Amino acid sequence: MDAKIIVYGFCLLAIVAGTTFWRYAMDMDEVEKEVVLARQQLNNVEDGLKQAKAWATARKEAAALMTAAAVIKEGNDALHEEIQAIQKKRMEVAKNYLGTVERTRADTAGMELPEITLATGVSLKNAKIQSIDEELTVIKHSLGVTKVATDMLPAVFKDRLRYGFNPVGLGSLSTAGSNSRGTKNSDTSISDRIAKMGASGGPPEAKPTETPPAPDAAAPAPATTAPVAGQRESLGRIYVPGKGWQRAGAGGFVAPPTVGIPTTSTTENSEAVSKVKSRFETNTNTGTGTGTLPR
Amino acid sequence: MNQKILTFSVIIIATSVLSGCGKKAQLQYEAAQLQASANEQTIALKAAQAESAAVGNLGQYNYPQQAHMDQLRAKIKQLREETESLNASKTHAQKDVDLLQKELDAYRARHLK
Repeated sequence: MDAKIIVYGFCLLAIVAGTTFWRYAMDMDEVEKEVVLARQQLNNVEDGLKQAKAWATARKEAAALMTAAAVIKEGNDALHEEIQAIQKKRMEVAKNYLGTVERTRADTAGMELPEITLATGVSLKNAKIQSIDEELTVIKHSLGVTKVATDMLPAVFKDRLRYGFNPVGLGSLSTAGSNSRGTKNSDTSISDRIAKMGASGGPPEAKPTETPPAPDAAAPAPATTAPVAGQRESLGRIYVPGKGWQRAGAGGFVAPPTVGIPTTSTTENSEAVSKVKSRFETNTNTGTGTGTLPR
Repeated sequence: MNQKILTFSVIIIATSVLSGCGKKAQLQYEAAQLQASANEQTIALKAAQAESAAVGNLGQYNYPQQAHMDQLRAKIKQLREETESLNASKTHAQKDVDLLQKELDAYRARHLK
């Protein structure tokens, strides 16, 4: 009887133990699954956090770079405006400069000077500038009126007149066509052209081809060192009766002009000049000459 | 004899049950710890997302990649070079104005009464 009870007891105990073990194993599995799940969740959250932090850092850096770019751009815009203001100021200064130059040019016409020495070395006494423009200057002096190329004026005049001066691309001030005072009375197209061509070094428009008149006994004989009767000089060219206009200086005619006046003297009326004039008129009437009478 | 066997079996079973319950509690505690850590990290994640959202909309650079960053750096470099160039231009322009003004003053002094 006791043995049976003991066997039943063992069986019951074994059943209870098996059941308990089975439940225990099930619980352990469940808890381990929970642990694994929690671990996975933690890893996911940690990855997400890393990614979010990386994004936040990148976005912050991008925002900082964008802000920096905007600040630099703003500074550049300000610099642009400053440069424009400086350029505007420069433009105003340049306009003032050109206005001053123009006023000075206007003041130059009518100037009286005891002496003007041209670039050719010719000296004009008691000179008064009657008119002046970019190309021609009419000077009244003790021996008459002379038209000279403005380029031939002394350096101080060039500095004063500043033709072709263009400080900022405003365009040079040119008084051509709107000469200073006195131009109309003293300006003629032929003489202007002769003077201009003399200034540019180009050939004269027309050369008298007539035979030179016999030299007057009273007039000095043509020589390389002596003045020639009827000889005139204008802007580096010398008019020799019978030879026409010739380039003066090296390679050209070397005779110096009479009395050092390159010019047109309206007051001087020598015999030689009369002869040249009469000769010119004769040739013009007969059609044998195309000469231009120098004034 | 039988009583001894019974007692021995009960002791073994009790010891196994007790050790098994300890293991289970340990795992449960570990799971709870992991869960708590995950919760903390989740809070930190939300904070980081809020921080990122606080930066605002960056337009084409809203989701910046390395190429975008390089592009921005190149742009800044270009702008800095432009700044240097503009500074040089400004200095040059200022010198130019000063020189022209000086020249004008000298011209006036020479030729204007």
